[in-house]
Amino acid sequence: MGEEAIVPRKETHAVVAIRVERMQRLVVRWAHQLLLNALIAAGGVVMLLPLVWLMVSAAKPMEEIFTVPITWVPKKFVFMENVRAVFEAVPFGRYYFNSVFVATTVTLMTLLFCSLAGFSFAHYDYPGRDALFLFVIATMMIPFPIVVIPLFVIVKQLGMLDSYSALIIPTAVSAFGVFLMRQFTMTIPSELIDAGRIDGCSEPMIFTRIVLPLIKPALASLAIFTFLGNWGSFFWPLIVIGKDKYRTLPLGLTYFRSNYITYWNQLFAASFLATIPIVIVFLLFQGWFYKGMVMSGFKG
Amino acid sequence: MYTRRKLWGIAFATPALLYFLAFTVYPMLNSFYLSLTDWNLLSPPQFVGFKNYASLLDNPQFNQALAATLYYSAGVVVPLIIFSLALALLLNRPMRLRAWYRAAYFIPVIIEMVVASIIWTYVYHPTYGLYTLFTRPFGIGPINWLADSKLAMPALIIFSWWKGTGYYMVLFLAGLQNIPDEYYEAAKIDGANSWAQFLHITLPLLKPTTLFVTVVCVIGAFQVFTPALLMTNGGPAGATRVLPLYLYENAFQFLKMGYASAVAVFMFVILIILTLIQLRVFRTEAYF
Repeated sequence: MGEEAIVPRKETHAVVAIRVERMQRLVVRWAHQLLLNALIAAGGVVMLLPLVWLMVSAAKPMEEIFTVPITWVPKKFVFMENVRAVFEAVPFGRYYFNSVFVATTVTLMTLLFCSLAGFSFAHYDYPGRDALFLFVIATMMIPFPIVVIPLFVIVKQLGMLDSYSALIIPTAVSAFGVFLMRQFTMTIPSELIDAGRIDGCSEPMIFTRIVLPLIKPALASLAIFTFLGNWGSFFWPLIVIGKDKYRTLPLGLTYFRSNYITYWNQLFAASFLATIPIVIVFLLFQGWFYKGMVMSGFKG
Repeated sequence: MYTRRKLWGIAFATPALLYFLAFTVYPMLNSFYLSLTDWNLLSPPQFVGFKNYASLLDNPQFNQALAATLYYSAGVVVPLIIFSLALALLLNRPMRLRAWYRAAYFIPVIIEMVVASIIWTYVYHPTYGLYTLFTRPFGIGPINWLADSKLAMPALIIFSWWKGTGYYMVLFLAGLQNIPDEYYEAAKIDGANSWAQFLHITLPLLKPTTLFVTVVCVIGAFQVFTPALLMTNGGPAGATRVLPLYLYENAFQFLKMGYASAVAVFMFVILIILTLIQLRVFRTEAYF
């Protein structure tokens, strides 16, 4: 190296050849990257196309929905008119409120019960603890259709059909949540909890003052998951809800669909309204979405 | 003091445990019991032994539903795993737009099933559907996806690819990130090309993830309900009447609770068998 600096550089054939080769490699890598990006981007566009199409169609007048070729910019922009028509046809605001109310309540209950149980499984010692935890994990494997009939019967016998309780109570704890909370709470050193005890904290205070603040990230992930799952929930509400008053958005949309099937543009406007908050929340908090999912299977 | 602490610990777990007893364990056991009865919700259940199971196997509709579920699962699980793994591998390398790509593939996952089904009913519209973007340039079509008994199930399967790829991609990405870089560096020094690295490092170390993804994917495929109800309503001619839909119709439209419970139990048994097979195939310890 030092020699090169002193002796004026004279490019031999070999040096030129190396240069050319390096350039070639760079071009190849660049082309490779470009191709790869183009491929992935094209796939991504295909994935997003139906959603974009939904948004566009939600702003179209009826006659423009059924045109060949497909128009990507509405010739007449009537989104607000479509929305108004939806609100006139069905109590859409009520559906919206129901969805928000049910999903929020279920989420809060899930967070509370799951974090309590997770804390218990992670930091307390009592006979049968591990067996109980295994039992909770095992219930994760039970698919919903297996329990749906008896669940319906329970709810019916308790006189809860057609009520918020039917939507909220049977779904307010998840095995996955307990699992997630336990895995996360385990990362809190027990010295910290003992220190709390020495300082005179009662056990519930340890939970609220020490544990809860430390597991905030896991709580956020679980909250997003639970809310999302509940927001889209369809099978269970379909079975226990008949009255318009308690319909959530998915039910309301299917009802709209079966009764106003000719108004596709309105149906799309309604679908768009039901989906867009979720998409926005996702775009704002992407990290939490992935994190919770990742924690579900890969920690511990 | 110590026992008091223990009692607190038990108290913390109690609400959740009671929940699982009431809303998972009891219903499951009850399913087994109900499957041995005749019950229309109005009069008390009549114990009939294994009659429901016998009539399951005799019933061509049930056999069709079972076949439909297996067809759907096979069509969904294997391609979905391949797609999502390939995507995860592509997106695992440093790339400027990586976060955007990941988001684009993930967005279908967060869209509600009902909305997704509505959109895709329109995507499959024979003359005005979005699919025509890809077929019209080649002079193909119109294709009546959802009304053709041969095409309805493939249509449902393609829909599920779209809906599910992002989810499994994220799981695979997490799995890939758990593989230490040193392994690849060592392999490079030993002169292994990228294919060899994939075969001898990535795949073996990704085994737990793949197992998890497969198990979750199969269980999910067996539970498919909403798109089958909303896009095709089980039709045409029962081609997409999957087991959960068959169960739903029998229980909540024909009020054959005992028979529908037998369907549920049957489904559960098949799922357990499939899961055991998967554990066997992967021959790895459960890691969660």
